[in-house]
Amino acid sequence: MFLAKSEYLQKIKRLADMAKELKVNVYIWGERGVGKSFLAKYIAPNAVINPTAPTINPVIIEDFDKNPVLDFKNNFLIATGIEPLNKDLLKRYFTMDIEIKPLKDHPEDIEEFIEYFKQQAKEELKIDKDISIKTPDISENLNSLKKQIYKMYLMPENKDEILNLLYEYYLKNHSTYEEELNDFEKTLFSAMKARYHSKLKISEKLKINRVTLTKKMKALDV
Amino acid sequence: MFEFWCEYDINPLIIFNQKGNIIYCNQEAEIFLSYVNKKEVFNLAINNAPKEKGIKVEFKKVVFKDFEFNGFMVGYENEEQIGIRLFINTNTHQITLEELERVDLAMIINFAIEYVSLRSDAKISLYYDTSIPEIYLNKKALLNLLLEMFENQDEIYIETKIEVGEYIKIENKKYPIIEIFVKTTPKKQIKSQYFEVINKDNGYIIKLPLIKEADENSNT
Repeated sequence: MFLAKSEYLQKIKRLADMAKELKVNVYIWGERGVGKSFLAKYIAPNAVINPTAPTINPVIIEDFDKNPVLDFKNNFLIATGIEPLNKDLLKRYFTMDIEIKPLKDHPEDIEEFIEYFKQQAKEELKIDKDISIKTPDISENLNSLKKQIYKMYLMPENKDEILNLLYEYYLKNHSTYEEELNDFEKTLFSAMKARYHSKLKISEKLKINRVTLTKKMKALDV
Repeated sequence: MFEFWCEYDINPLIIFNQKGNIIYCNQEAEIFLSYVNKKEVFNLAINNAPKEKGIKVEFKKVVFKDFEFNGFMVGYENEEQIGIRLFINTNTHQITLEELERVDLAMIINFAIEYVSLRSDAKISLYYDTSIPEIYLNKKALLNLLLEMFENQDEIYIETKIEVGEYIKIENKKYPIIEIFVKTTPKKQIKSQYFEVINKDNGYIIKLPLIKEADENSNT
């Protein structure tokens, strides 16, 4: 499955389809997480990855920019890397290079990827719930976006699960009683502040004296 | 017997009368004259005719449209007829047939177009002759050649056609020709060991041998 909403990714898809058909050597480069390996496997689905000897199958060499030497000649070669290759090196091994730009340069594709990863997470994790991503994390392109979505699916759903997690945590780490309570109070007050916005309302909802609440929030720098 | 050798000579041979009409031309000259104005050739013969009856040979580059010659000989025996024999530039015909694969030429050209349009805003248009069959060629060499021609261009027009009546001779075999005309603003001279490339003021012409069967050449 090749997701391509933007004109930019559609062009890459067309190029990849033709590279697959014509079996030409391609060097794919771009930042971490832009989908280089995915594209390489799309062009050469039955490729052997990082072999040390020639094969009759297509070959995919990863991180080619770090060690741009090939000890054997293969008829159909796809390589990936973060940096572009210089012209001579590119010409020696490849017919062409494809740069995959970071997600921030083609943001119209983000929504498609979110939906794709949500669907994938639901199927893989067997969790049937809906989440919404307000601020997609594309700091590491598809890697960080996928991590963000999976994390949201794996978040505890009720207090018991949270307390269990906390229990597991305390088995391995803890600080002083006061510090632990402070952490708990700070988290609680921050969430209440985000939810109710006014101290009066928070004090009502938490059934705590408003002066005490103000003092505690100030002390905890909430 | 001599007429047989003249007829099949790879160099064009043309005999004119004094008015510039053609009295005889061999097969090679027939192809040549279908592209070139005969008056220009006649003028070349007249302007380079020997002062006395006989033959004059000149070794200098002569270009008529896409035809390039290394020299020519002009001769006459009487005032009624004058002949010219042009020496073809054999360097342009030294083509290697290697790594031939059966391919769809349209896909190769479209691939080069897609690649360039991903990296630049060049305006590209293609007029493709759909009667061109799948052929055997060195696809990587052709792709490299096209990409070199497309490099740093703002506007590219590509036209393909089968050259009727013309052929290319490689390793003693005659092949019909597919011509790819790449209209650009040429920034450099381009050569290829796999195809005949003509560098023009308004672009490049690639001449491909039309090889339809794998066993047409033993290197496949």
